[in-house]
Amino acid sequence: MTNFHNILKWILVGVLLSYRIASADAQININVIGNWNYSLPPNSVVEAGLDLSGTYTSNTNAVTIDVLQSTFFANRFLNYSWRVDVRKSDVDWNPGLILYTRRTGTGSPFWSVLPGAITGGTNYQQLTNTNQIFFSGNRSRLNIPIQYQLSGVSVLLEAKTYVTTVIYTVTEL
Amino acid sequence: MIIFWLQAISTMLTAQVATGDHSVQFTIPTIAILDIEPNNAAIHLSFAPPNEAGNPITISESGSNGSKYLNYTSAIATGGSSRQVTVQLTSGAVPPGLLLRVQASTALAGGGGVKGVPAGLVNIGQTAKNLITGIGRCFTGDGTGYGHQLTYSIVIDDYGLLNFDANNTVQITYTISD
Repeated sequence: MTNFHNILKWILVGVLLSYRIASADAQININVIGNWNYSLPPNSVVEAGLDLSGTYTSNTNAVTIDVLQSTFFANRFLNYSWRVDVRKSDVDWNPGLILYTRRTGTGSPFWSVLPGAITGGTNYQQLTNTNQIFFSGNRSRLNIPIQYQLSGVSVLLEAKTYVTTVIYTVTEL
Repeated sequence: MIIFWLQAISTMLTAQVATGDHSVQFTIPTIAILDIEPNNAAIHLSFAPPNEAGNPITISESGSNGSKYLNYTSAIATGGSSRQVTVQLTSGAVPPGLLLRVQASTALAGGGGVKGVPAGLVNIGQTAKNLITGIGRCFTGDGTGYGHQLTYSIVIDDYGLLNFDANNTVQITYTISD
């Protein structure tokens, strides 16, 4: 075996070892930070005889999501691909209320040297009680901003607080 | 090296899943508002003098007025009761011998939900009286031609109490309530 082959072998071993260290015991995680609680003010109807405006929108970063690994090395070195699915689970909801979500930014890389990427989810999509693909990416990313929009709001619905839980599932691909 | 390779591959092939969640809460408040369209400007009601001695005073076209419309929006809490609109005089007095009346039409087309039911012809006095009842979660639409048309009229109740050239201004107040 030539010196070149020896060097190549040890480089390969080094790469695999680094990857193994980065991925050893690593576990993908998702942090969902924030929520969207909104109470319409009593003067929301601007003129007697009119209905509520029907559509209400949260801040562009009502919720932020971190997709990351559980270990220091994996967050910096592991090039893993992932996908985030989203659904809702109704607590006290009305089928006339339609909740939408979208991603309004790319967030930030866990380590700027190896930033990774993020795609999809930038258009409003209606949340249902079944998982659907939201967006995907690779490498760990932080503070991915999420915005919500609610339509179907009307005085014809019971005046009360409607509650649903939005569930994000990240899958390492 | 093969062990490293297999371990790396096995790590990559193990699909890992994690979940996170948060709540969304949206509150619709109770709402009860009404207004008079096209505006709150005064209306004028009067009688025409008789053309022939011995005839009664006649009610001219200006003895009634249907230019006003009542619009409202109502959002009711779970288990809440229906609402009503009452009418009353809040200032001034109707000239002696006369009755000032108002009648709400059935709810006109437009808006949506459970709109109220007119109570019929109501004599307007200083005590609040139901004009429209059974208002549920609804909105009537905004502007003239929406909601309930209000027709005001005056009638002679007692000739003996009439005063010549009595000219009174009264304020009529509508209230929507549970």
